Amino acid sequence: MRLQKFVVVAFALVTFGISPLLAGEMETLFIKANDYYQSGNYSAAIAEYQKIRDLGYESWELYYNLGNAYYKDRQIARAILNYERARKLAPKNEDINFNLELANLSVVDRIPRLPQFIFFEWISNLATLLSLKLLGIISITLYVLFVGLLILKLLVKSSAFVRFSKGVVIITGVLLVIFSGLFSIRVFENESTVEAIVLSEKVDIKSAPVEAGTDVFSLHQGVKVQIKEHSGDWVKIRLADGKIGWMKHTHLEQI
Amino acid sequence: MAATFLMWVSTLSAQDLKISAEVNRTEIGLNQQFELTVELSGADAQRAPQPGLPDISGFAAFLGTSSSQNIQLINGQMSVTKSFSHHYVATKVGKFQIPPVTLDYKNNRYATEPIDIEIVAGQSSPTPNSPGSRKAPTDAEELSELLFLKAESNKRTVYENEAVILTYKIYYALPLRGGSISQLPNMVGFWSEEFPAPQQPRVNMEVINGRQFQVQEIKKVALFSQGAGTKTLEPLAVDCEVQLQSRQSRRDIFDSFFDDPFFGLGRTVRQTIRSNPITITVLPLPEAGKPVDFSGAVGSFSISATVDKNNVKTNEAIKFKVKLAGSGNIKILPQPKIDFPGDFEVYEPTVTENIQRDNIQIAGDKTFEYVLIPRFPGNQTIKPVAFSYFDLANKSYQRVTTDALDISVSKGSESFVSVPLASSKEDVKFIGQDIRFIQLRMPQFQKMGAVFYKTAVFFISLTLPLLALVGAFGYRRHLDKLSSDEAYARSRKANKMALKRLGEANTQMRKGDPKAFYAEVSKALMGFIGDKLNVSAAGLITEEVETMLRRRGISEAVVQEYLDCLKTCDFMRFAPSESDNGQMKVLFEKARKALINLDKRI
Repeated sequence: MRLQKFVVVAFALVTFGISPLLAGEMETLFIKANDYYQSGNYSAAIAEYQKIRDLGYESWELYYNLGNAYYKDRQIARAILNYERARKLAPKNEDINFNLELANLSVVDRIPRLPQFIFFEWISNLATLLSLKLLGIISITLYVLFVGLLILKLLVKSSAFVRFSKGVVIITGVLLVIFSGLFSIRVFENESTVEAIVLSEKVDIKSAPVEAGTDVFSLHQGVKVQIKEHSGDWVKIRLADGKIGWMKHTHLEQI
Repeated sequence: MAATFLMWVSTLSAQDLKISAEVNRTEIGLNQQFELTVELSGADAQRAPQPGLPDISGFAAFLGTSSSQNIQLINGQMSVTKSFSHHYVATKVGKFQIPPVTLDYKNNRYATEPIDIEIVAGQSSPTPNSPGSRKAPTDAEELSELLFLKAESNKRTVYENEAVILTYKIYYALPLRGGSISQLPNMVGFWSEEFPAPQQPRVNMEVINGRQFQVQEIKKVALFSQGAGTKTLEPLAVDCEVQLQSRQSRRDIFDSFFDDPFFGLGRTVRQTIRSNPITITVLPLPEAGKPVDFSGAVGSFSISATVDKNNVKTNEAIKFKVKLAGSGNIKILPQPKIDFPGDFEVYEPTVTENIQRDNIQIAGDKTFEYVLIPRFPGNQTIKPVAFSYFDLANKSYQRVTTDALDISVSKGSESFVSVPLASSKEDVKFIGQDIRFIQLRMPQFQKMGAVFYKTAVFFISLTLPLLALVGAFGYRRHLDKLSSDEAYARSRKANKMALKRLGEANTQMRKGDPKAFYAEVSKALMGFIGDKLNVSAAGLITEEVETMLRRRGISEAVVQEYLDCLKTCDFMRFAPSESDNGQMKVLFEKARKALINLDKRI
């Protein structure tokens, strides 16, 4: 146990430079929050989980647990928001997806997803198979390997090595193209799509970013929307089925 | 005449069919009717088919045919006369010939004589020339004074979509036996709403120019113009049958008693009468102040909205009615735009129209009935429904609105969990399930928003290998050049060799052997240039070196410094050995500096 803890702290330090003190504090908070949750005190659990976030740190487990606490506290929209945040960090996690689907049942608006060109679906599915970070690490590793091989090829002149390296360079090159392609798609998606969850119970979506705008349709809490544009207090949103409208950003929270 | 006829027939018994044709008059006024009678007589007349019509469409229009048959038995002999009367209207002025009427019967062809006629312009009086019509007392001019059709419109200048009431009245001062509308005016560009014909035709009396007319309304229509401009309504045409009586008896009170068709004293004449064309100026609706939601309604309207209940439970239907009432073109009233609360499910309305066509206007109402189903509890408001129209009374746009309607929706029987409206199979599988339990394993926290591809680690691992690759590439080129380019190899070796020789010189200096020291320094200096410029050092002489360096554009100071060193070396090597360590040290430093400077510039 102590060894594990040491490893975690060491890893945290190496990768993101978390001081052991801070790591310890977050750990205490996490354990405390879990205890509250298990004893059924969901609002207290929410407060403790939130404190970790307030320190500026996150993890999919934190969001998942926070989502659970909100769900139990009957705050469906916030539960969905946190499940979505967790899913962003761990897209293929079964627990997150299960709970998110269950929470989404309570959402009033049923928005059908627009069908996409099947090829894009595949690529998108393939890209989400691995987490963004893992995909990045694989891509970088392949890249370093590929470049390393090229360097060796330049420097080592033995004919045995040349023969061996040819196949390896081609294989790593192809893998590098595939993985860096998927990685780029994910990075692009990550950067270009800003999503948010409607938190207000009911919002009338306007045709224009003014209070007097015509109501185009209305949304209820828990719906996921894409943010397309900002204009003062207003944001232009797009639903999964392609509907477009404006709403005040105060009704939303970004995932 | 019949006798001669019979005799003639009997004499020509082999040919039992005779055909003849005549017109009732040979001089016909334009637009007057005339009659072409074709008569078949003889034993075969009864069996013979109807002769074909002559083609006279160039100057007359065919109206219709009537036929009659006359059978006589005289002394056991049967005589049949069959006559066909074709009615025409003269349509063109000039002299024309009616071609022969032909009949093919039993392999024989029978034909009549052609008939010449003249059609004269204007209302010129046709001179009745046939014996049968000589008695006709009334000429066309007078006929048109006694029988005419009048079209009246209540307005001549209207706005688009404003109603014009058009009335067609027939005026007659002589017995009218019947009539039918033969041509309707073309009403393109108008939306017409016909007033129903009265069950009992009302006949009014009217005196015009001292003559008493009977007036009967035959058609009444409300027209709504669809677009501005000047529009002419073509005349309405009516075919009438009137009874004419003798001229002298016309004003005779006593004889007018016998005007009664029952007595049948007069002659029945068919006459086509046309109404006057009507020109209507349609003004466009003013652009100024035209509301955005204006949809073209013109007239005077009111709007009201009602719901059948104000308190409902979720998923219970509400009936919501919007009624537009007033005068104008009810049929084209559009569905008003209604802002329903988003939580209501709204079904397409059923529309009912109720149009009253009274004497002076088209009025009525149009009702839109919606079925609404609230899906969520709460207080909902149906916002006021507005309707804009152009008011004819004060020639301006008006906007009428309904009151807002409040509806309070209370929660129905459903509970929170089973909210799904349209539960699908996927929804069902979750019923009775709970979320999965929280994660208890200690997570690895990371800085918020720290995306891997934005960290320094990522950036470094992206650029470092690239730099290494560039380095490796450069090194490879260096190696390749060393092995293939002697000059390059020597040049790269020059520094090393020079350093080595200077090192050797240094040891000689410490040993205290000036001669060997100066020799080594000289070698270092000459060898360096030899290597750098890829020439044999053995054959080099000072002057050669000097010109080579100058050609390379190396600055005078540097060359001079180098040559100084070289000269000192050469001098000292062969001079008596009186140099001390101090001198050697100075030269050593000077040579080193000269080489460094040279190296920088070559």
